[in-house]
Amino acid sequence: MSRAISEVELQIMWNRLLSVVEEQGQTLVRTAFSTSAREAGDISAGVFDLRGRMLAQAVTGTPGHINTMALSVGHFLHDFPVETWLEGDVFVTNDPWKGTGHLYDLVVVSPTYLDGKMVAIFACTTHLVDMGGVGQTPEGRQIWHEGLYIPLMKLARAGVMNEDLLGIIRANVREPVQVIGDVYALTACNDIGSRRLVEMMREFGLSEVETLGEMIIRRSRAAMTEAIGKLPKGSWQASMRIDGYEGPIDLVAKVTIGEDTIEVDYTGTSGMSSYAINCPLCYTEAYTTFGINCVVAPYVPNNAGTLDAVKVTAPPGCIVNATYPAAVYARASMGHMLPDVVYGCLDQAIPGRVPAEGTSNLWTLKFVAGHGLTSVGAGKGSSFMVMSFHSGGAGARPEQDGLSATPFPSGVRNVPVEVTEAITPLVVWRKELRADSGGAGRMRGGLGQIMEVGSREDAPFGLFAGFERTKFPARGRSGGGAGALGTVALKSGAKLGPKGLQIIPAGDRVIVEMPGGGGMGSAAERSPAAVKRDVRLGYLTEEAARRDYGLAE
Amino acid sequence: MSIATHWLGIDIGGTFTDVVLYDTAGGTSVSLKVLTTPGDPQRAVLRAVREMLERAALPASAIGRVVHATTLFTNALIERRGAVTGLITTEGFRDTLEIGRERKYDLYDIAIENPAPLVPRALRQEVAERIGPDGDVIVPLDLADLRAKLRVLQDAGVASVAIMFLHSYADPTHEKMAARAIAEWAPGLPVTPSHEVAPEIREYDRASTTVASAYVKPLAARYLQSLSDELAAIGVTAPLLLMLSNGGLTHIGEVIRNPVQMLESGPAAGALAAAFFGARDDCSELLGFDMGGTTAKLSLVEGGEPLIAYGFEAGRQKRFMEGSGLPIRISTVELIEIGAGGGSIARADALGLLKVGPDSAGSEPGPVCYGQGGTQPTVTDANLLLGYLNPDFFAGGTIHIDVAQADAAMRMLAERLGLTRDQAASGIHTLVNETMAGAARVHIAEHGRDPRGYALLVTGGGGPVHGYGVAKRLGITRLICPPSPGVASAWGLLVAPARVDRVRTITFPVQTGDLAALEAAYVALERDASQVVADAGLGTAPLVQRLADGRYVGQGFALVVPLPPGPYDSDDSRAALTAAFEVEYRRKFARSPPDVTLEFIAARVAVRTPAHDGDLAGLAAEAGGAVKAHRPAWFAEAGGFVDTPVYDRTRMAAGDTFSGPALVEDPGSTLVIGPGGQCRVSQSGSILVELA
Repeated sequence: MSRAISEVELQIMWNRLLSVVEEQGQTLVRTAFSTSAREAGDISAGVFDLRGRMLAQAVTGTPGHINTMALSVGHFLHDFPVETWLEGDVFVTNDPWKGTGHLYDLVVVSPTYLDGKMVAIFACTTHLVDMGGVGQTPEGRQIWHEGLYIPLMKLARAGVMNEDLLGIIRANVREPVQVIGDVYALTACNDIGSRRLVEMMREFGLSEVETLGEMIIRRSRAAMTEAIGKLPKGSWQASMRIDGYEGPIDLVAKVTIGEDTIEVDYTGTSGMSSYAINCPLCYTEAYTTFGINCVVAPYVPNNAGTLDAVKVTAPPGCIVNATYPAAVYARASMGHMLPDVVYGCLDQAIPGRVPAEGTSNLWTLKFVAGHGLTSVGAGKGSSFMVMSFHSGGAGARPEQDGLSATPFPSGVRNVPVEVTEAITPLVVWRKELRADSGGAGRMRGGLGQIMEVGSREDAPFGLFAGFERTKFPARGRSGGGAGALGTVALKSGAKLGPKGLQIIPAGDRVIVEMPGGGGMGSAAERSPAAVKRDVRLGYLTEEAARRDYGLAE
Repeated sequence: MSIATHWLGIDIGGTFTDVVLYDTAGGTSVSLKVLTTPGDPQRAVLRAVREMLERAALPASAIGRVVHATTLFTNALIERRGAVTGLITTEGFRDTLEIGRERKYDLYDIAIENPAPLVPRALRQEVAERIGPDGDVIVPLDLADLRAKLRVLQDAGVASVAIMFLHSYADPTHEKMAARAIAEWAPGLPVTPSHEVAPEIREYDRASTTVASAYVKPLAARYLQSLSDELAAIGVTAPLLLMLSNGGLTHIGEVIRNPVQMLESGPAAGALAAAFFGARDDCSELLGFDMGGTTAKLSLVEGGEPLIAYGFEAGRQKRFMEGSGLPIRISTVELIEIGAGGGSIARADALGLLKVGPDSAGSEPGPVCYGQGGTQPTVTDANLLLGYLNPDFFAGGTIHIDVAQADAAMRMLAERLGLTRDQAASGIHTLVNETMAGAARVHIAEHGRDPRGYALLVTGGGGPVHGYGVAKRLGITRLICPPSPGVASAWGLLVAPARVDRVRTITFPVQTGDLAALEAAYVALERDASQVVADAGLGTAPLVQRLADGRYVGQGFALVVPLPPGPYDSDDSRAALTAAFEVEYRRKFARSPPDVTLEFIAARVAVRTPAHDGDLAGLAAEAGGAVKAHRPAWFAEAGGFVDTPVYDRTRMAAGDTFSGPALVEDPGSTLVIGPGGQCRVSQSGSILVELA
């Protein structure tokens, strides 16, 4: 029996539902093994109605899963009709096109039962420690290079784990204990969500979530409509050239603001790459929608109603709608760049509201050593694989300088140097802000940073590079200058490549100079006091102050 | 020498300084509230102490113990009023303090700002040195370099110096050498090496804590010394004890060594007070709910003691947003702060729904009903219109209340929301209750527990008004309202035990690690902590609790679990340590993953003396005639307003019983009891409410 819900109750129950998924997400972060989940919060957790509409989602470290997971539940309902689900069933996939864009993310979906009746669905996802294949490098050329592919299937049947599947996973990954640990963490977090939802429904006397869900979705959609209604109507186009793998890539977007929807079309964008920087459409949608929501309606909680307001299209076979069997491991190389392109369009529609281009792509340092990578056989040094998230400078904001060494649009955190050094023979010799790397402007771009890394062992080590903005910088807006390009080089002098496995010989070090963000407005309009402060703090050398800002001391 | 019969508690907050005087023989206490004198805080203290002694006709020598809590150091951090501080780091790492965790703490907000570092870039100097995570010297400390960098800092006029070398948590040799050298070259300049403040892995968190400590150190030393001297000058010669964030007491020297330990001392006193008042009615599992004008604080008491957390954030850039403040790694009473208090403003949000807080009308202009220019309805205005608060007895009748203005403002808000005035007012009250209940539920669930096992203890001006609704939402069946709930927190100062916590990063795989080394690590920590307790003159046979930060190899989040007592010397110890961890893990996260290896990454000890057994006298069984009036009050269970009896708390006697709906007024607050609540006045003076 359903019951009516008053306005005040709606707010109360909505808040509660958000705290249910928040706790679901926190459980995953605290029990997960993969670095990206536990250090960076690279997870997603949410609750859905029986039609597969997302009602609430935890606000987590990164937007990459925002509507990929939302769409994923629909695929499960399509393949497994809801009337066939049993209490204790758990579903799983890592299908890049029906999940979250690459094989490394596992999506786990579980039904919730109240008094023997299925009432809701919980879903969650995280980036695993490993999924086999060539490893966490963009060097794969086809999806089969990239690891184990798990089609939509049951991870548990009526409460009994699918040991056959777990056995196959164990045999295909480098860290079986931790990967299975993550599978359990995903399952447990849905259980916690279900438990809390049942408590909530009992407390409020709800027998179903559709009525509440309908109100949440309708209210959110209306808020989006209102926010979009305040924007000018029309179409605007922009493009951005980035490094790519084998050659430059043009990302081209057309944003059309209608009465109550925003359409983004990527026609004109370059075709796919032979390497793993291809991006499935679900991931393209995730970052596009996120970029728009940050500017248009950041206050509306994410659900089926908000997602409905932004329509994303791209021609099949272009790099932001990559098709099977393209390699897609490093799909973030494209996804992270999309808000910058969309902002290029929005800046024409609503000048003064969007930031300048930033580093955007994460400068994650993935260091490796071991057989086949840096040696043949055991080699002289230790074997390891360690991943450390880092960021260059973000773009200048309309009325603020860009944030230095801070990610955007991703929301991950770094891994402390002491942690990296404690689990590997590596030594980080410096990690400091990079002077003069922020694009000049009325508002300055955020600074990149410099890291210099060597080894305590007399042995070579490798770097799985996947860096952007080493050939084409983050551009400024409204007359602002570009941020500095990123570079990767040996301390002994030789330049290293920005993509794929790079070897640092024994005794040498790698110096990574991360890019800066673009500036906003003309440098001539920057307040002299701000320029002097930047010189005093060493953000800007005196030489650059003279050159870019005409500062005469 | 006269006999010391009284104890003194002093709590300096941002606005008010509270002083409590407790007669240990008679079990009675009196309190006094004066305005804080921020420029010279001891002035307000001395004035209040003198006045209190005069009123009680006591000589200063009657004071046998002085306990002090304060938010002064917290405010100095937030308002950036600390000393000009220099930082000396490992070469290549002067920007750690500024770069932080490279995190955008609010995903959707493109206009965020990070907190400004306490030490500006020019005052962060690097020296050549490097010790690896295993303690091997990779680059020797260059003392000539250090001397040159110190000179730079001295020339810039620094009044305090922090030292932060990588991996000093594992091997502090270089930090110790540097600290000794600086002490020799610059006698009198306070030096704070990171291993003495927060010997834990993760360079940013350790740097942040160390710098905060160095930043407030000169202020803390100056202030505490002068307070101690001036108290002595008026004849109070009892030792000055200081409350720490973890609810323990210590001596001045320990606070000056690491003043960030005192940052949360005020709220810690509140949590101790909750534990104390609960215990008087045989409740040891409590949810403390202290609601004031701008925020509310929740604390959990288990087994009669407040739960402890091992880090918090000071001075958040964006209110209540995790990640926007300065991380401080110290042990502290675990508190959940919620941005809803009496002054919190209600409005229609962008979705056309009712929203309350975190903006607050504060005390200027205050709620609309204060008639000082406030126009947006607040929680207090809603509570007034719902009949909970008495317009003629506000703060004991000291504030004039304008009901008509509150009514008009509420009607305007109601119109925007498409509600009636009463729906808007009750919506605000209910929404605040749900916000509190929601925060408490998540907090309690994070500890793997069920809220129904707790009693709710309400304090502050707002706790008693909202407690009944909060308890109902949590399924809590017992509510406790102590006597004078508005000033109950300060009582925590007088019942505090001594407590010293110590921590050290270790590497200990539980199945294979070196047990002798683990045992030695705990013994060393225990010896250090016990010494501080002894030095404070608080006892020589303290209670020792060992704890460990444990996790399965590969996980990033460590769970702090209590361990069985030592010595750890056999394979049975390994089994016991494993069991201790697994019980906690399952309670929190439902199930353990298969085939995983357990490791401990930090050893902790908590050394305590028992909480003091000082007690307040109970109520006399007399008085009577406590019902002083009736007025309509709104209750959801009754479907609207019902005529409700109003009791005068000062006329209640032990053993009195009554049932809800009811309102109980005392000068600092009003206890609201819904229909069906069964109330009894306990011998302890507290009102116990059983919820249906």
